[in-house]
Amino acid sequence: MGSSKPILPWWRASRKGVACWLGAFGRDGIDALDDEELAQALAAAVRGDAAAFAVLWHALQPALLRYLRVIVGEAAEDVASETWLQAARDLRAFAGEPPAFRVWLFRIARHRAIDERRRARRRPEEPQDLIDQDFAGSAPDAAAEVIQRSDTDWALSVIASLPKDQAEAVTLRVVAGLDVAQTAQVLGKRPGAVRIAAMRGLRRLAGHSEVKARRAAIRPSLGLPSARPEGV
Amino acid sequence: MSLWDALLSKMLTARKRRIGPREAEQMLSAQGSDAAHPELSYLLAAAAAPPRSHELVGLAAAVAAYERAGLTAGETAVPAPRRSWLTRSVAVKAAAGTAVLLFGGTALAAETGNLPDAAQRHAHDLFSGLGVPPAERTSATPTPAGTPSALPTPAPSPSNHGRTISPSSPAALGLCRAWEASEKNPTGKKMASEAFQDLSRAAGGAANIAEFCAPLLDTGPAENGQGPPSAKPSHPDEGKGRGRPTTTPHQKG
Repeated sequence: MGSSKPILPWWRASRKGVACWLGAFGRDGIDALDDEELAQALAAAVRGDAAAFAVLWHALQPALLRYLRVIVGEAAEDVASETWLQAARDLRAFAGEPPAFRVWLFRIARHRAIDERRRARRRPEEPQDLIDQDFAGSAPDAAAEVIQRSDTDWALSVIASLPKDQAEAVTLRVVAGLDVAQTAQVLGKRPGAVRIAAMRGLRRLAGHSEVKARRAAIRPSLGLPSARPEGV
Repeated sequence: MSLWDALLSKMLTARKRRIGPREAEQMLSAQGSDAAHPELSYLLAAAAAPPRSHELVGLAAAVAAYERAGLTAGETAVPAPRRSWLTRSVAVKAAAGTAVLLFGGTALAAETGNLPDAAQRHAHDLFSGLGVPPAERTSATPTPAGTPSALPTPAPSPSNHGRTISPSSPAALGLCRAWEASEKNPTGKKMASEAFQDLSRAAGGAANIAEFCAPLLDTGPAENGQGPPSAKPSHPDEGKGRGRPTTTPHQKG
């Protein structure tokens, strides 16, 4: 464990790490920008550069959407666009580095999601949205993408079945790439509570029947790396 | 015993494979694959897989909002006001309070006969049962002599003072909304008791509130005319009043 590096956000380590053994999941994970690129884009966007704002959006929208998918389900798209509207409005007043920006953005998303849940509780019932059709229409083609899509959606739905605090902690850590302290800031909790919630979430996931069922399916194709590239 | 053995071994393996804080942190922080939990690593990697095309929808709207914010001198960006339950309950109370204040005065004027003639006649038609006198110069609408037994008129009660509410008034609508909100959300904030009494007086009894409010809210149980079971009559004797006073023949108060 004589690692020189501190705990890396997964989206940096993953380039060498797990992602490579999961051929279906490609190289870079959900967030392909590193902190320097993100810092430049952030600084430019705060100054008013729309192209830089688009870069930020590209970097963070998928994670944002998946986080929202876990906590508000089908309303995720709507809440994500509300989140970006607010971010677009307030970004010029933002001061901070990319990690703080992630926290800031996910806090906005969380608050919008809480609002949405409140609204959903008030409205009695609603016809189901045609989410599936939307998905089918926008996918270009490629069998790989179909498989990948269903796997990611499956994973998110399994995570969403956890108790809420665990689901949020796991998603923010794994999908949003936040560390314990950042996750704690987003959730307004103490870091210790976040650690415990995430660990319990993982335990529960490990015992989840669907996860176990997948095990048989994935085992033959796994080329597990013998060890992690860096100790943590 | 084989069942017991199976259970025991299951528990042992579960215990052995239980994820500890270090393993958890490893999987969460850098997505390290854990040889003991390949399926879990798979799940986490799938959750964090690269974005797919359908996840990258909405950029144009976001950028448009960003540019709009830049145009409207966004230096002093203010976070969107969030409407909390507190705001809402305050709003409901304020609406009910305003309604009571506005129409309490009108009702007082009506009861003492101080409204203009047309208004006084109207108020009398509506609320004769509550002690609103008819207009002075014109006689009240001729009262049909028939059907005294079918619809017993509520006796004009001199004890009814002050605030009465016309069913067509915004006050009634406001009170009905407040009432409906407190009915729909029994755990939430109760309607203020003065407002409730006003409403129940206007409706001719707490049990009639639902019927009274139904045409105003354009929802709700208009047919059966019975309030939800949680509607507590604040004045038990008022519950005997029947129907809306507009349709009942009246005696002069």
